[in-house]
Amino acid sequence: MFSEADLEICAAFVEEGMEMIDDVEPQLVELEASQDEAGNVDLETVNSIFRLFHSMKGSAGFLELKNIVELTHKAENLLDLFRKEQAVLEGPDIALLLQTLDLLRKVMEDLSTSGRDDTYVDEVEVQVKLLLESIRHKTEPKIALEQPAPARPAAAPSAKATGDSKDAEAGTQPVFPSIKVTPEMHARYMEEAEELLDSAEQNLLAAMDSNSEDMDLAEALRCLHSFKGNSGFMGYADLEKLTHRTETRLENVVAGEIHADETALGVFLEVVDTTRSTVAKLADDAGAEVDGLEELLVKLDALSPDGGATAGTKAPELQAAADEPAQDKVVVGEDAAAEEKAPSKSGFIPLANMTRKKTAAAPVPEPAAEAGVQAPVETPPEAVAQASAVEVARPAARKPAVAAAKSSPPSVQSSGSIRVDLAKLDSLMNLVGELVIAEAMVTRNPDLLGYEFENFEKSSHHLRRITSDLQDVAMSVRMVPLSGTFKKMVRLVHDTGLKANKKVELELFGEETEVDKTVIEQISDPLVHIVRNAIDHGLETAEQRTETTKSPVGKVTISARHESGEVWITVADDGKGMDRDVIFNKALEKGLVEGDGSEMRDEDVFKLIFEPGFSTAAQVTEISGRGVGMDVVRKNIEKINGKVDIKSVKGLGSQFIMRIPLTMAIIEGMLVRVGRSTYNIPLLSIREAIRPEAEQVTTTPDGIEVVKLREDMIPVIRMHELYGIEPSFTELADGTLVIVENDGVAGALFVDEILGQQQTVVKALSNYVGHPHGVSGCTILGDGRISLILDVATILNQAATTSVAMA
Amino acid sequence: MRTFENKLSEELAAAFKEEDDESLDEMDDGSFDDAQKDRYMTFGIAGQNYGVEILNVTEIVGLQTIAEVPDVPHYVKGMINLRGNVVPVVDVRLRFGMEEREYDDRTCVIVVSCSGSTVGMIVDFVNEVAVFPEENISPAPKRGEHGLNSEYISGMGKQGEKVTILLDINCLLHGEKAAV
Repeated sequence: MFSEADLEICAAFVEEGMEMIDDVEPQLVELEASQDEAGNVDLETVNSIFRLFHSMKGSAGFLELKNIVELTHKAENLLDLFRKEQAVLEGPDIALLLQTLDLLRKVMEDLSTSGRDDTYVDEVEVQVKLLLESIRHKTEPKIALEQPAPARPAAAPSAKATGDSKDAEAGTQPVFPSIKVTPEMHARYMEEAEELLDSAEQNLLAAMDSNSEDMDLAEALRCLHSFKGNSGFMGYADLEKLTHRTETRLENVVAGEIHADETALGVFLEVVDTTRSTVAKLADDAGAEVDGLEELLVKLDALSPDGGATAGTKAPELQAAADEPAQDKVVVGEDAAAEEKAPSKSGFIPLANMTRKKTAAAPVPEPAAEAGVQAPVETPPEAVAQASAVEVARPAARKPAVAAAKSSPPSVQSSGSIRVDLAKLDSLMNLVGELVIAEAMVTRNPDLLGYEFENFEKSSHHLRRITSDLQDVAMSVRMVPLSGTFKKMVRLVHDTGLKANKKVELELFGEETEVDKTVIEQISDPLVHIVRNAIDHGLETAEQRTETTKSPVGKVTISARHESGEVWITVADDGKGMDRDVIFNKALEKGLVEGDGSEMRDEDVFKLIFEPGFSTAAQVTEISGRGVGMDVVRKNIEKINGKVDIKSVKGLGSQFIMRIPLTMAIIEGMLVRVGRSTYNIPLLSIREAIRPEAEQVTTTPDGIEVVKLREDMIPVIRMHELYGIEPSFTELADGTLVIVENDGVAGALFVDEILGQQQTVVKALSNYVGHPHGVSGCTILGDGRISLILDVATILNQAATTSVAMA
Repeated sequence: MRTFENKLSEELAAAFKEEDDESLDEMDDGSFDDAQKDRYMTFGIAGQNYGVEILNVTEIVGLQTIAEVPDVPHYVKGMINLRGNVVPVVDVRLRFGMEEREYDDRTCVIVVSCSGSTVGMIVDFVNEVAVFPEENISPAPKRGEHGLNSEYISGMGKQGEKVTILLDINCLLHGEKAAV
């Protein structure tokens, strides 16, 4: 169905589409929540959802994906009713739209693997029918039709015009800014552009002297529309904007709202000419900015049926926007280098600003009141979108009204960021890692030992600083904000709440917190399980809640923040909390613990829920109860060297804190030597290192050595025995004991000597050697030797089990 | 040692270069792979000649410090640092269940890549790049000498009187780890 070049575009489309679906979902949920009693909804949100569907339809049309076009088109139609306030949005509609999204997602996924969009053709048909049904249902009883627009009183006088201008912004809304433009696409675009513009011109000219001008104008309109779609897809915002505005006016002419006199047609022709020269400029790679865009837009606005009123207000705005670009680009540059914000998928990290703009279209659930403020009529919604993009970027100032004032130019998207293949980033990361090693090899070269070179010292110091800066930058490129992951939770909470028949309010904090890409991939599943559990097990039903003076609506808070070199992601609920006794008894029943548990800390008891198959739920429900989820949580978090802490107060709620290291690419470790091998012990798990005195060590009758350190008795783990190495020392007193700790369990690793402390780049072990026990990775030392990084947790666990077995 | 290694590398490079030249002519057939098809890197272990398809061979390096890795099959000697890449090395002798032998200055590591991973093979010495056209290859015997499992053997290459055992890298490296 597709050629190779097409497949590439197709992949980009799927990726964008998926992001869009992710964006729309929380908005839909929010829409439902923000509905007031009369059923009025926040129009701005409806619009932004509409825009996303519209853009998806546009690109799908470009790729001739009929099924997706069909689906999105019908969904758009339905939304259009709400948008124009011809119908009242109801719960079932949201459900229907969510269903449509699910189906779209399925189709997209299939598209990315099979390259076809007709695998689910039957389901698409059904869904389309459902949508049509709903539309018919909505349009037939036209009782609520003439409802005034309470949210936007000023919209009433020029309903059509506002609709159009919204439409216009839907077009200019650069939802597809960062798609990868291949040379083939470019060539095709140029070719089509020429054809379309020629045909548009001919039709316009024909309209000038023939009588059947409506037909010709409609044809011109179609041409311009296609051109606009293509330009939008290619990310040429100026062209898109210009043609869109023209299209709007042409529409007015066709509808008979404007008289098609010489002036109007003249302006249209001027537009075509300008567009053509811009396209010509594009061919020379001279950029897609339209010269004299502002004048043309003003001229076009002057044609609008309600006269210059809108134009008058818009012109200065645009002027202001035009004045800003230079300054804004600088900001963009900085941003791109320093931080990058983007939900990412399948190997690409969209960089910086572009995605922000998209995120903007999906203001994360915030009180509807705020969104209401965002709707001053005369501000082009796109400016608002832009402004709230700035918002997302700098969450410190969450004041849309203020933000809206600093509207930024539409041209930002052409320079803000690029999409980069993840493989390239990985190889950059590797190279930087090697550079760091090479730098250490040079500056700490053994040949230099005993010499003092003043200048060399200076230069090497300089080199070291640059490499470490470079390392920081390279690391930051891989960092992605959690917002994408968090946004998925909105839908999850909505669905789970419905299923569990509980009213739930979700609060998100710190979604701008950035973590490594690999962390994002691993964190999603655990988060899902914890949130589901919080709702299903944690929160009480509305009745129970009212009895205990709590608000009937349960509250789940998901937050992320940086804390001592880690990222803490907390899921808190204000439910009934965890019952220590119930958990303990269940664990006793399953044989996980012994005794009366009086010596166990609450935390340790709570952690029992991470055991596989553990569930206190009396019966398995649709949502949870099988006892698998928490096991998944622990496994996934451990995979990224993280930990999960649980805090819970009975009656007040529970808190799950996932503590995840900022990055897995660099580790601060202590180098130790055992025989000829060098090992790296992560500094985070080291408590101290001692040279034991003979009297500190006790050997139990069954051969377990224990070292007494102040009041603690710590079992000794002989590294050479563990790894079967010939050590330099076998007497504990000759070597060194490194006291390590994990999860409150301590152990003393017996090593020959400590070599030093070093920051090293973690390298994964080759698949060929798999996952040797107690080793989490390896690193290359300054002298080129390889040292294994010890996985303290596993070593301690193993030691614990063997000592139990021996005892 | 150095010079020997260099000589080998040059030889290998020359072999590759030759192929490149040929491949230019053969490009019309659309298959670069064909140029390397019948070529084998041959090496010796315990007096016997073995060969691996040159397609899999990345490079040949002298023996370097090996970092031992715990909890792996005994024939995986550890890992070496190959210009910043950590590459596991397999002692082919041990893999074949033969006696281990002191490494000397002819001991080499043939770095091969197959099924996505790069692995070094420690061999007694490296010979040359030899060509075995298909008609000179007989199928593997049912049972190898040394009682060695013949599944690693993809065929027996004949070159005059000399017989070279051609190895299937994939089986050799990834085959069942029964020898543990």
